[in-house]
Amino acid sequence: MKKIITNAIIISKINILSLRESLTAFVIISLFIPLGMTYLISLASPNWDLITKVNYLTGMLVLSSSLTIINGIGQFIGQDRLGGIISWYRTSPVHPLSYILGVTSTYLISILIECLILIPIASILWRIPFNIINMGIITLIVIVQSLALIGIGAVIGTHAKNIQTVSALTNVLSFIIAFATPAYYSISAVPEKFRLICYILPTTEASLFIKNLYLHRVVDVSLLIILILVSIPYLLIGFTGIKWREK
Amino acid sequence: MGKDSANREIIVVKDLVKRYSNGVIANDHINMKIKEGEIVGIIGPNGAGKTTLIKQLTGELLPTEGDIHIMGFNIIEDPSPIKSFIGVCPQEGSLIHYLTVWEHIYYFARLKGLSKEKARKNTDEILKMLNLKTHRKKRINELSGGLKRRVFVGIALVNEPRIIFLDEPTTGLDPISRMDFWRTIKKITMSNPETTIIITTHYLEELDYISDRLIFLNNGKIVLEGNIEEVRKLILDYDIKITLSKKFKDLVMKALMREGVMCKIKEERNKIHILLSKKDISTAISEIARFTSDIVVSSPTLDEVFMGVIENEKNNN
Repeated sequence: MKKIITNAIIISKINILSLRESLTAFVIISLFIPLGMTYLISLASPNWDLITKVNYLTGMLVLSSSLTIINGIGQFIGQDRLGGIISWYRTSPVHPLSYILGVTSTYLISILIECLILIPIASILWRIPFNIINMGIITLIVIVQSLALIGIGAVIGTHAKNIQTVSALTNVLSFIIAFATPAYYSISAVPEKFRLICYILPTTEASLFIKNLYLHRVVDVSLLIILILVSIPYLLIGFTGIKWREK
Repeated sequence: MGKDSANREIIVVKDLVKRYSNGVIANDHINMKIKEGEIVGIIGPNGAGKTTLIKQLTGELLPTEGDIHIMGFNIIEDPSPIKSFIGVCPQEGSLIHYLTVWEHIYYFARLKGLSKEKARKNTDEILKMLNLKTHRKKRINELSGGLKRRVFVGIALVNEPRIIFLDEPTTGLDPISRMDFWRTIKKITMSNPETTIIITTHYLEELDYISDRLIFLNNGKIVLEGNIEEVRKLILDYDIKITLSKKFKDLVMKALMREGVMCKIKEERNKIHILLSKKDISTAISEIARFTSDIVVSSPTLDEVFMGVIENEKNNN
């Protein structure tokens, strides 16, 4: 197990080094754009009620994480697999779990940074009640839903036939997830027959949880459990697609 | 080859079959044994099954039937125990473009189980050996094809592997880079005579330079194997080639027939190649020297051997 963790840390370091090349793009996409949007909304919404403000904050967290993770993981695994980089890992004494943990942790770190910056700044600018415990709980929820998004990105990365397909699928899916999630609107506004589709998206449980926390000050453990149960299959399906040995 | 290890079989392949889901049989009942310290060249036309064989030996591809034992481990059941002891330079594939040369080799040294200190030391040594020291801080995407190929080799070698798999390592390199590459491999074999190397290549003259033994694959089967001299003799039935101007053909042929020298003649533009056995060389040269001193004496090239193997295969079928 120690070796698995050590190798996961090394793979994670390798991935983090990619930020040297794309640090500006990463900072713009992950921080400046959400912060800029946060500022613009704060200018436009002095008279918005708390529900609208919380909807926007929830939407921003969900949209931002789904775009970052599905695109990032899909492209990353797709490039490793289709470009042959994965061969270097497969022929080294690296357990597939190390690769999975290494790749996953890199994205979870970026989501963690995003949450820790976005939540307090949005709360201050939009005058949403802020406390550090809530921020911790929301960050945890966003990370759990990110595991499912990682699974979805991994399915695309491991099955697409070429990198163009990876790009097309990740773009389409991240937008579907962002807009089919009842973040900017209430789940009760969704026609009943479509609600099941919303519920199979992990982002839905995360959104409902965040809204409940802000608006009703309720930590809905049942939603957390459902979120974990929904996330596990996505993650498992995603990473069983990574073949350490071809047939 | 180290004396103690000279007879130790490090790779044993029995009845190996690889049938792809589309029905293509890439390897058809392959049996082979490779001894520790041997340098074995695997050659064959495109689609002969060379890369498929290498991928099964490195544990990347699961065979359909058969057994593979490497260093005593059954790698079909579990290839993981050998991965610390092998180095693989794949035929295709990319490097991680945003890493520097040093980082790439160092991080893979770490993944291969080397401690930080040992990984640093080995990375520095490898960079020196592969003449990459001046490029150590360059990112991979700043390197030429030849330099990238050297990084491939660096990763393959950094854990001081006991078995090195080089799958068409010089494809796409210019002649100077190819020569450089093989000089480096030769250097490694001189300094670590117990290292076993398995090479596939299209450039047969390279195998002539480095290999102890050749394995010819065609249509997924081993059609011939042996050391280079044996293979030449077996296929071509001659071991010396004398090349001279075509205008002396009739005179030389008459003289050689008179002396009872058995030979074959191959014509090529304004030259002829006289193919004959070693025992007749002094007679042949003294006869030819009566007409011309402008001759070239050489061994048949591996390309000629390779064409001979393919021709024999066609005739047998």
